[in-house]
Amino acid sequence: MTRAPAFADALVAQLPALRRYAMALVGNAALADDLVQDCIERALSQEAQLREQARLAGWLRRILYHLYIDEIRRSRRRGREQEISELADHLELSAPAPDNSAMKEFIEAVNRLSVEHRQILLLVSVEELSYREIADELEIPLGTVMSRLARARERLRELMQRETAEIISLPDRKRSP
Amino acid sequence: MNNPLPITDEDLHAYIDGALDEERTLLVHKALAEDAALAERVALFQADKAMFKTVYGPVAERPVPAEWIARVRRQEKPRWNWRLAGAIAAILLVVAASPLAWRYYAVPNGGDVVDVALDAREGIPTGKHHLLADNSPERDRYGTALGQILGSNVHIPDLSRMGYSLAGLNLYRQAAEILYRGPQGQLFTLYVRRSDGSARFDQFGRRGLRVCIWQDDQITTVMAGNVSPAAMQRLATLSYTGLTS
Repeated sequence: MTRAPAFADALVAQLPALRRYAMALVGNAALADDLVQDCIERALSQEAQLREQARLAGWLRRILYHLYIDEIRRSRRRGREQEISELADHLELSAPAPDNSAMKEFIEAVNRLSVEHRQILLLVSVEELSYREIADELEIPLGTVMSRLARARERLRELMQRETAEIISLPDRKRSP
Repeated sequence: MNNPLPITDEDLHAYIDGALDEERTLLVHKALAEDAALAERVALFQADKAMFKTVYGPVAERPVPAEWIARVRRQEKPRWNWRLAGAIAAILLVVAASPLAWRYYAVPNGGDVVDVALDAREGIPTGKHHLLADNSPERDRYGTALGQILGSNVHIPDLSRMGYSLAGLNLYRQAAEILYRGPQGQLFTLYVRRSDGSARFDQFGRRGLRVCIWQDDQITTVMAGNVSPAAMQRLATLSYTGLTS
């Protein structure tokens, strides 16, 4: 099988952003890389299904998301949970030490969100898509994008505040018998 | 006159994302000015949004594994045919006929490619160096000549986003060296030759320079310059994607 160079070029150009999306969505660097590789294979075999090359980024993200959902289902059947805590150690956090720990707390809070909430937050905050673009990509109404995003941000705030509360309460728990 | 609808959570988040219409944006501004608790809540949401970019944004600046790129390109349709090869040969004749256009050195293809690349870099005769500007009309021709040497369709990368301007090109029998000058005139070199087929990616210091080797199943690229590891990472990504785009 041969393919047009334009598709290969466009696909290669998307790989860094796709890997970023995978790492943030999955919360595990090794699994993210596995999923990107699977996504590449799927994209190469289903190239004909891509109607417009301008939509390549969204098409790849959709493939990767579905691969991830499949992986979650398989893991549940096997009775295994994904290890999500290693991403904070894997990312090269460039901030000074106090900010660095804040970033790690942030990553851990993000990893505790539901997949749907992580996905919509990444699309708006990292991929910088408009609400309309998100609605098209997720195939949901615009109103659902807005309400889901509001819930996701509220949930993340709750988790961030809980992280802080847990850190503050640690010394007391150590002292209890 | 109708009272405006109260501000909803969706309004607040659309405001944060710049997706709110002008009329309701003004209402949110007014509410934030009057309600400190609401303003603090919005500020926290905005900080969370910014944190996403801070934490995950740099991941996209990392070089992706060379084997991924090789996998995408493995079954790619060959980019040249006999007609194109004839055109390339004609162009090469034109290039070869211009004595100041390029120089030709027989650099052996054996040995550690990093040392070969650094030897080539150190051997640049500054008095005979031929300039090739970013906007030179000959740039495409040189790119074609480069592709012919490497046996694959490559382009001369544009590193202007990093403040580096194209300064010249040295063509060897089985390799090429592309030279750039940084904002302070510092030299950055890309030494490119055919790959032995294996994938390799590494970054390290050698001979007082920061060096990155990036190899897929078609080309080997050795990048060298007096830059930080982070700058090399960005330059390497820009160079490799530019070469293979």
